[in-house]
Amino acid sequence: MNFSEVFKLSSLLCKFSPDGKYLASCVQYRLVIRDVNTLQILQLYTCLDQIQHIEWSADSLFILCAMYKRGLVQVWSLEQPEWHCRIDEGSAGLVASCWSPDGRHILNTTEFHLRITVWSLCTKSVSYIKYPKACQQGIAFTRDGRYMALAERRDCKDHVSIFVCSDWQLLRHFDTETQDLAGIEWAPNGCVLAVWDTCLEYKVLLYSLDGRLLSAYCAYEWSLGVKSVAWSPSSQFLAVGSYDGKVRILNHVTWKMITEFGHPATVNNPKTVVYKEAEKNPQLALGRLAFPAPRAAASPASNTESKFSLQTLKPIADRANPKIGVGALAFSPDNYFLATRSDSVPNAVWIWDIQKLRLFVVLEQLSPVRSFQWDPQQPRLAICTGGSKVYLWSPAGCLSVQVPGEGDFQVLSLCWHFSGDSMALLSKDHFCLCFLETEERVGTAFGRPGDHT
Amino acid sequence: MGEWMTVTDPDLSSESKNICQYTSETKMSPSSLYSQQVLCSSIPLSKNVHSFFSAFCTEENIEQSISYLDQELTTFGFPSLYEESKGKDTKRELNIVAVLNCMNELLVLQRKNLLAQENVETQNLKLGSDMDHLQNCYAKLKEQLETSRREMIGLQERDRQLQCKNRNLHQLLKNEKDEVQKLQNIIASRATQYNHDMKRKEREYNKLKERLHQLVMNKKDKKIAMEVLNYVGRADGKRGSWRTGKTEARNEDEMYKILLNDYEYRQKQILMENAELKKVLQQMKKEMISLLSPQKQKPRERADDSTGTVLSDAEEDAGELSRESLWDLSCETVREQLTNSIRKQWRILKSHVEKLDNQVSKVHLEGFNDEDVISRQDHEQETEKLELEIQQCKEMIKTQQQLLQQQLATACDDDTTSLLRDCYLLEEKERLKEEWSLFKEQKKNFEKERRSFTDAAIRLGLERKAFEEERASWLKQQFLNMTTFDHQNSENMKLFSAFSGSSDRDSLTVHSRPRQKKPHGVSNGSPVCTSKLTKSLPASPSTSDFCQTRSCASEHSSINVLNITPEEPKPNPVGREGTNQKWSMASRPGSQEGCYSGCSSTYRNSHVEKDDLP
Repeated sequence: MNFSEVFKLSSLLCKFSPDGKYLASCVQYRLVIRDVNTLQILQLYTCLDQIQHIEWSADSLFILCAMYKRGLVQVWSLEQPEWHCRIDEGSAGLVASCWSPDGRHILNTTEFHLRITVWSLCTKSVSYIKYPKACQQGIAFTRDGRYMALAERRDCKDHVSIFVCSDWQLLRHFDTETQDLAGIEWAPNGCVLAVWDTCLEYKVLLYSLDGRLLSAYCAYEWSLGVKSVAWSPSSQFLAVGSYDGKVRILNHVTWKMITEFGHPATVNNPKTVVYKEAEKNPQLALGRLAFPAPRAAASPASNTESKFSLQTLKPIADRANPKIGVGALAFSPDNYFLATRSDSVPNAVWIWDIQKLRLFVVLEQLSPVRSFQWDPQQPRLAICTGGSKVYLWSPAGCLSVQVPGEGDFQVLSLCWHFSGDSMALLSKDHFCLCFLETEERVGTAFGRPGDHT
Repeated sequence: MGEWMTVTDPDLSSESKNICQYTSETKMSPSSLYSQQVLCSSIPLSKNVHSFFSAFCTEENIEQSISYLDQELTTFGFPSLYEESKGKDTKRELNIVAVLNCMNELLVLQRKNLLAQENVETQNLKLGSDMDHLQNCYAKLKEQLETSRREMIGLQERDRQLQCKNRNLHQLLKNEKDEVQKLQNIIASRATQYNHDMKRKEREYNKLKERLHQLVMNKKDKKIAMEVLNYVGRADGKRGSWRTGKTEARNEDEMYKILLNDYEYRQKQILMENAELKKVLQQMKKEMISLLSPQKQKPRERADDSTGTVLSDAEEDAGELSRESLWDLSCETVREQLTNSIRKQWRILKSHVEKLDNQVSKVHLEGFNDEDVISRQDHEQETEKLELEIQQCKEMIKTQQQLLQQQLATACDDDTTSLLRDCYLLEEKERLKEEWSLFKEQKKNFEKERRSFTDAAIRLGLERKAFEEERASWLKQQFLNMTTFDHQNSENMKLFSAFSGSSDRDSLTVHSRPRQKKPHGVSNGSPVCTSKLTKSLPASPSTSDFCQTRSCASEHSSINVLNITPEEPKPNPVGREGTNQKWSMASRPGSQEGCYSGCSSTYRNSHVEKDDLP
């Protein structure tokens, strides 16, 4: 495993282009485009203000930089460095900006969610969509980029509009049976739309592309409901994480629950492997560390013990947004695994075997897990905890890597290159690339910790 | 005093008997105090005898004294102190012989009296100690009764408190429920209110938004604009098309196409899955048929009745199965056929397996019979024999080999003889070879047999073990059953014993009855009475009563000694029973002297106490 040198970064804005050739990063009001392989600066764009959001177009030809404070969006072209585009939302303000899947339209949401403006880069045409709903996840595009679903609020009722992205024509418009819609998400096959209600009520609705209600699912009542939702890449399963600390898996045939995964603080099943991160001496910490270290002997011990208890956080009951429930869910790209994080057990990542529908591995870190992301090519999970290490898990085993370099590099976020060969590790004001070994070398790298399992 | 005299004089005349009867009758119902006095006063009386006599007679009044004594003595049945008077007028002479005889008689009587007194005193002491003991017992039991009563009261109090608590808790629960209901109502009303408010707020918000929208958008904000160097081409290279009805229709078409594709894809998947499942079913069926078909020959030979027909059905199905084309169709009938045939075969298989199980269990049952055990021994013997034979054969072969080698060795020595012998040897060799092969074969056979025997032995051992286990489990079961029964029995026993105790008590009361009736001369076995006395005492109400009964008993015993009771075996049973019943009716309330509920417990205690008696 190799690391690049450390580059400057602000606001955690660093993204690989969809084609995997470029890496865009922001430093204050400058946008830096680098080549992924050589890391040489290809382009350097200067925006009018501090950049708050960047996004690559789907064809990797354009990149938009949003400056919400000034209601500005600037678009840059990679092919034509001299080309530029500036969209000013004026006094209406700007709270969100994103590309349409064709990479020729930009959707800007104005302040107070008054409307969504669709700016075209091809023509002068500007479209407006009224009544967008201010919610967690109000816009969703199908994976093929053909359709867009938009959550709306009209006359105190929730609606969903489905637009055809090619000409922004309204295809379907229907009201949903939700109290206060919180999010929408397309299935990867683009035929089913999952809609979930606000956390006050457990309700998941499934709509067909043509607006028919396929099914409604409610696990329980009178308690805080859905917290997170994820589709499996095959569209076969819908995982719903809720505030009761459980993940429920719905199937795509009957839309009924297949199983539910609880997240208890003790792991009882002796078949479940528990990896516990153990502190080692600081002088040994340079370089790489397989963290089921023989001295600490955390994972073998947990294997022989029938019980293993995890560190739990006592939630504060009288505050809003309590730290309970399943806050993050992610299926591995091959559908075999599901990684979850329960907010009441912040240090742990649960990995579930979807084939056998049971708990497979629990990783317990020393500090709360900030984020995790699956390798887009293989079942390999990268985890960061805001410390100076990055953790990798694969079915073969588990390892932790110290990010080299002077000073403390606190990995707050990470993102994979689509090939799975490298990933960008982001700290508060720096980032670096981490190159993983090619296939054969990966095997040896994972073999060692694998021995402990 | 006179009473005791009569007791100690066995050879008294009928008059004295009368007297004694009279005295006993007169003294039959004195108070205990009186009898006590009599008993106690007897001792000082005997001591004062001498002084009394010295004062009684003086020089002057010899005559009077003599006549007085004579009178007294004659009244007591002694012969007169005076000589038989020869004449009426003559003064009667004192008969010294008679006096002496009388004196002697009196002395003897006195001695006997003292003896009897001693006896009575010891008996009295014994009875006194008995009484003390019984009184102690009584006191103890009374104490126990008291404590148990207190306990009971305490328990009742606790029960009452608990009930009170329970009632309170019920009340609390009800209150809580009410509270919950109230809160739920409040929540519901709050929710509706909240929703209402929210809607109102949202409406306001929407109005404001609308207003803002108008303000912001209508002002022709110059700032809202897009500056672009030049418009870029579309990603697909095509030009943007106008929105028309056509495009709308096209969009719809496309959408449905996508949906259709998805459904088709899913259908294909399901078909594939179905096909695979069918394949599995088919295979299962085939395997079942193949599994069942070889076995159906045997049962048929054994003249099986029902399974035969079913199996023939299965055969038909097997024939049907050959028409593979049917399986590709997924129509209703085929599916039904398939499921039905599978079900049928499954049933057959099940029954077959059950039959096999039965057979196995039967074999197990039989296996424990003696014959198989003997056969096993036979096996062992057989194997031993065979081993022995093999050993012998081996030895024979060895010796032959040696002989052969020797012959060969000698053949090498002289060629001439060898030449001569060669022909012979060849023949011999041939023969030996034949023999050799025969032996080998035999050996093989033996080996095989032995193996089979050992296999059989192992199997037998296994079977036996299984049976042993089964038997053990069965025994355990049996044992458990038995123990449960025993338990019940013991409980029954306990119940019964308790009951018998009560009955015992009844019998006691019955026994006490004749004693009460003794004054009427109906006598019973006195030793029984006295022995029962100790038992009956706990139920007796007071000490005075006890004393009375005791005196009765003593009297009665004396009577019993006196008359050889010709009337004893024939008391009127009917009359007695009538009185008995009456008595029991009357006696119970008296004897129980308190509450009925306390009685049983005290009784049981007394029962225990009695057992503890030495």
